[in-house]
Amino acid sequence: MAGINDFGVRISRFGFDVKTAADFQLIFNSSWPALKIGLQGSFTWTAVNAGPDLVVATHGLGYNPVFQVFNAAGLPGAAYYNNTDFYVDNNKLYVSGFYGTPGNVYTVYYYIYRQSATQSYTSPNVSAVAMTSGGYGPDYGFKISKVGKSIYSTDLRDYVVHSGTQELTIAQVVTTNVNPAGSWTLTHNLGYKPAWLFFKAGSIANTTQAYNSVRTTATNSAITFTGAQSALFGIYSAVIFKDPVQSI
Amino acid sequence: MSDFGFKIALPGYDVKTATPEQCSLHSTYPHMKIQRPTGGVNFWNTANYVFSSSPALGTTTDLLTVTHGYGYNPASMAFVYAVTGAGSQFPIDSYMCLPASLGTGTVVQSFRCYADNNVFKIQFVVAPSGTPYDMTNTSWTFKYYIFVENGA
Repeated sequence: MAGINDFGVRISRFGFDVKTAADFQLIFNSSWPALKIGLQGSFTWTAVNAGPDLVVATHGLGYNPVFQVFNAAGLPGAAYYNNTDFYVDNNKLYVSGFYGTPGNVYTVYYYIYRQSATQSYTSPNVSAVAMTSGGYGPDYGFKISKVGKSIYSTDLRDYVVHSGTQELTIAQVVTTNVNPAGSWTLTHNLGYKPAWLFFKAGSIANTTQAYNSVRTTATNSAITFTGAQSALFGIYSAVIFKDPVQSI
Repeated sequence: MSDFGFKIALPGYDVKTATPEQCSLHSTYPHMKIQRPTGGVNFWNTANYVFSSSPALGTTTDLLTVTHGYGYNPASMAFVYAVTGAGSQFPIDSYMCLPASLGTGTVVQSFRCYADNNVFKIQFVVAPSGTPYDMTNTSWTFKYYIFVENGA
C-alpha cells in the first residue's frame, strides 16, 4: 500500500526544502486539511436582557462545523478572538441571548470552516524536526486567486492559497465524552506541544459551543485538557493543529 | 463557478466526487492565511515576557506589540505558555488560548490579545479590585497568529 510520501503535493514555507521540512514548515500538504473558509461575515445586534438566542449566520452544512468568532467592538476599533456565547448546530451559527450588556450594540466577525467539529479525523504524521531555512529567492511559488480576483493582486485576502503565506493545518479532530468529571488526555504524536481550538456540546441538544476555559499540558506525544474554571464533564471536541506553541 | 477550479482530495478519496471536507485544497474555499515574515514583521511567531514587577490593580500592560500595518482589523489568536507559572493560578508548563485568566472564579488578572487596523497586541489586564497574584519575575511565552483575513 502506498504511503503518504509516495504521492501528493507539498508546498514548503519560503526558504525551506520541501523534501525535509517539518510538518509545521509546510504551507500545504495534500495529506491533511487546512482551515477552509466556508462562510465568513459580520453580524451586528443590540444585546437584550436574557433575550432569545439570535441567528448570526446560516451555513446549511448539515453538520456542526468548526468555527471562530472575533469580537469587532469589545475594544475600541479592535478585533479579538471571542470564545464564548457562540454555538452552532447543523444549520446555523447562534449567539446567546445572555451575551453582553443590555442596550449595547455589538459587532462580531465570524468564520465557519468546511470541517466538522464533531466527526473525528486524524491526519498522518511526518517529520517534526525543524529544518533551517535555505534562503531561497521569492521568484517562484504557488498561488490560486479567488473567483473574480486577479492572480496579480497584492492583497493576500484575494487568494485561496498563496505560498507567500503560512496556514494552520489540521492534525486531528477528536470528540470524547468526559464522564466522570475530570480532565481529558488525547494522543497526538506530533513531536511537539501543539496549538488547538476547543469546543463542547452546547446546553441545547445537538449544538457545539466554542469553549476556551481550558488549560492544557502537553508532551511531544499527548495533550491534556483541564477545565480552567471547573472540571470537564460532558462531550468535548478538540481541533489539534500541526503547529507548536513553543519554538523548536 | 463549478466549471473550473482546482481540487486536491485527501488520501483515500476520489477527487471527482470528494466533498470540500474531503479535500485538502478546494479552490472554492479559501484558506485562513498568515503572511510570511515581511519587512522585519513576524505575523506568526513566539515571544517571551518576564514581569519585572507585578502590574497594579486597574491597569493594562502591553506585553507584546506587532505592527502589521494592514489598514484593517485582521483576525488573530494567541496562546500563553507558563514558563515559570503563577503557582496554582496558572501552573508551570501549562498553556491556554487567549483570552486566558489566572485562577478560578472572579477574574482578577488575565491575558488577552487583539488587533486593530495597525497593530496586534498581547496585554495583561488587572481588574480594579480583588487580590492579584504577584507576577514579579514570572516568565511567559506567547505564540501568536495574525491572519491575513479580516477580524472585523
